[in-house]
Amino acid sequence: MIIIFTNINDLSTLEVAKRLKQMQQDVIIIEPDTAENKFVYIDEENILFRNSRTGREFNLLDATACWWRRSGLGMNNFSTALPEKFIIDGTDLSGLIHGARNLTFLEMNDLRDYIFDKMYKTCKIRIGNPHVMGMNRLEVLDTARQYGLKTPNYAVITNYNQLQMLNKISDIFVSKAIYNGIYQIFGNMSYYSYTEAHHKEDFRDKDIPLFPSLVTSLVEKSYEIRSFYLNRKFYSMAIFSQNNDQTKIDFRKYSDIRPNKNEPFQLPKNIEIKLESIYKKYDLNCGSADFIVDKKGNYVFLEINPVGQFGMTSEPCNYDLEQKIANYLTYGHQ
Amino acid sequence: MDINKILLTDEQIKNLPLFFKIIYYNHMVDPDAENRLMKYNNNIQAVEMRHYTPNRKLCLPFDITEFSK
Repeated sequence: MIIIFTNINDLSTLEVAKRLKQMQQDVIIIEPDTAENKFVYIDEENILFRNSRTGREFNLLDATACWWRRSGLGMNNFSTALPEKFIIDGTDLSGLIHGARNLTFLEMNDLRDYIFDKMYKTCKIRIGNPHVMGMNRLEVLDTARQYGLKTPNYAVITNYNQLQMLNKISDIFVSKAIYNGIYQIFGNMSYYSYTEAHHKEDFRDKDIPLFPSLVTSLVEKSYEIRSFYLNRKFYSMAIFSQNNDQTKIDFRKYSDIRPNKNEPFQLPKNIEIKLESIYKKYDLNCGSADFIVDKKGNYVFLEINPVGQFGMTSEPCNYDLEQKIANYLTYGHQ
Repeated sequence: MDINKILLTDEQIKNLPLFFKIIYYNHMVDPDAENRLMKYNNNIQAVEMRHYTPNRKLCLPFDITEFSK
């Protein structure tokens, strides 16, 4: 039995699951949105779930392989029947079960952590790490420097006027989110942000306070690289985004008129070794790393996303990563 | 559906993260349009989007009362 913890409609998950079915594997997708797999109970030998559609009960500890693709478990997997109000002797105690820091959520959180941790310890074949589903952008930049990779200079500022003092930040600099950019729907409107370039000159002599904001030097690129890592193997792709004004700062501003050219790419061995050291430090056997190759041919590390998209690398480069993941989950090798 | 761009002024960005300075947005025909394309795949026992890569153009729902406004 192979377990995949994911989110609804993650195309990569579905493609891997289809391959596993073709390979006659028993695959179970657990996600928190439709949450058809519900928690039943735990004892010393069982972490029991039941599929509410088929009625099938299964013990997570019987899994031969597990892939932590995305969040996997949410409140709906544990309970959909919390009372709307919790009133005792006329006092409204609903804050205990609803709201930002309600106890039921914290209980669920600890229970989920326990389930993930126990599976991580007992499951022989694993992809991903439930304890490292996201990486702190600042911390991973520091780690990359420790392991000898070049990174862009960065600073976290709280006022426009601090930019003038930052000599290590280039005159044209980049602003990006420390956690995640904007990607929200309000009513019928969809809002989103990208990595953006700014000129220091536009902020000169202005006393404008900011919420702590990440700024980094702009690296003039020859091209950029997305590198998918799976158990000691790298599958890299060069993205030629630099010749199109629309995509040269952030390639996710896709151009339908002049799509970026994407090519399979071999990272230099010394870069792969350093990158693998970072994955090992965080106990990860899977992830996607981003690099810029600057005008001098230096490889400048940007970030690692442990749960990043890989379909965008798999398809244009013909790596068939979905099959490699399915092979790994089935046989323990690619 | 045009993509619009908001450039926050210095006054508007005050005490906000700098990455809020440029925000893009677009009007969606119907936020539930995507949900209506979901179907259950019995083989893998999961919900997936039908016609994710359609071989024909798909019509999006549109509220025709919008025309009268």
